[in-house]
Amino acid sequence: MKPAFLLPGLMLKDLLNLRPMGKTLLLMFFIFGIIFIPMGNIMTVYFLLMIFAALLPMTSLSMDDLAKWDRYALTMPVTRQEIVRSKYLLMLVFFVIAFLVSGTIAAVMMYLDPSNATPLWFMLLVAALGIFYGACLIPLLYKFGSEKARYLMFVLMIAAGVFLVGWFALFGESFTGDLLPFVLTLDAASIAAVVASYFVSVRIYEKKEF
Amino acid sequence: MSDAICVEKLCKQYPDFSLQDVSFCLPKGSIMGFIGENGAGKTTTIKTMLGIAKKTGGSVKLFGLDFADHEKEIKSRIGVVFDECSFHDTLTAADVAKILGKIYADWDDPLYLRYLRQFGLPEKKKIKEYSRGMKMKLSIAAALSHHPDLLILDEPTSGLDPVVREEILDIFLEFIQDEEHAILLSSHITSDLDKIADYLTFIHEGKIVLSKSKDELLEDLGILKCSREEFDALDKKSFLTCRTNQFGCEVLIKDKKEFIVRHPEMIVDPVSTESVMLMYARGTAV
Repeated sequence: MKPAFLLPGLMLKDLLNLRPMGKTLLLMFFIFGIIFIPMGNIMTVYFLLMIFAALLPMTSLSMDDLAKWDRYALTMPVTRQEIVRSKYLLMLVFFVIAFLVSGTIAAVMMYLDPSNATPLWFMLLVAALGIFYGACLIPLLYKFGSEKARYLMFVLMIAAGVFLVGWFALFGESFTGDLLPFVLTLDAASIAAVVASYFVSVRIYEKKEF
Repeated sequence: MSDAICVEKLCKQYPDFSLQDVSFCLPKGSIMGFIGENGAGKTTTIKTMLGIAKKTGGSVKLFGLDFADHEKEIKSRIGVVFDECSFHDTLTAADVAKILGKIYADWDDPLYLRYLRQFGLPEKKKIKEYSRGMKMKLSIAAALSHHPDLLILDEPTSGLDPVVREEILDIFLEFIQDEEHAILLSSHITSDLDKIADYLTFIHEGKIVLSKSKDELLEDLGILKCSREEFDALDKKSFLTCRTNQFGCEVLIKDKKEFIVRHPEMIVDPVSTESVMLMYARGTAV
């Protein structure tokens, strides 16, 4: 008897499901990359990467709804908590990938054109926003289902956009010594939001019927 | 002979529907047909039994183990098929094996591939390109490939043509050759149950109205055909349900032999699984 690996099983299901969307996003990323990076507008690329990272787990949740997967998953030797945990792990994996890709682009740009390098704080700020966005969305998706939560997704996305615009209006694009601790605090708050969001989602999912 | 399933006084309350004190036991080595019209509570019973919907009362034991305390162990020993294929359209049969192989400790890849070949299911084709019959066969292949002891099937044959249905029923009969195995098969296609069920449990409006061995049920029950006046004059204690139409009454009788002894002049027809279901669904309790 071989040991069962529950979480990789559930995550593998999501990864296999997201293949077609992943390909589309990769293509979009290259197109945007080709357009924005030579224009020096690298920040938009970072922002896009984070949006993609948040979007993929949401899509996998909608796909589960469509296939009535949860009803079936609950007949397998998997607990409700494990099902939720696999979604959060999936989200974290995508964020880590997005952050690493952003970092690589930044490093290459720094090497090619040090005068126009992206400040680290900006990447951290975008990461904080992306993670916070994901943390807000997953419980909403579990609570309201993918149909209704889709509208909330757009409202949240606009809110994130308004936040960024507001940020630039207040602080501008330039890095000042005081901003980094503030951005780091925001990152820490986002990670705390993910942890809180996980427990909220588990609670919602425990009560859910399919 | 121990029971594969023992459900006792299972209750589930919805605003517009409720399961009330559902009780039945399925012995190992047998197939139970779980019959009822659409909306009678078959799927709700299965979902509540498996914890997919939360029960409001009662107990569920599978393989003699309490479901609430041994959920994971029990779930690794059961295979479930719903009326619709639960695998995402974008996946292929090969993907399903990769996923389930990581979820079930006892997943048997060669066995799964054998089922795919037997059912004529292409491994690399996307599930969205499968026909309904193929999707159902894939669900069944997936449910069988981790060597379960119990199959719980919620209308697996509905919407399928007779050829595919027969093919699927043969697989169930093959599965039940092992005395440790058991099948709970919910359906409203009574001819399928006539072919393979050992026990029949009828559910109507969220309540179990009958649960017996098929032979006993077909032997004991009868349908009396009489006029309204004759019906009114009879003692109703051995009657279960009654249907009236323009020609008179049809009455479902608990013990036809005993009734014939008492009323040799009256006509009592034998029942079929379908007629019992119809008598409960369309008749009124006496």
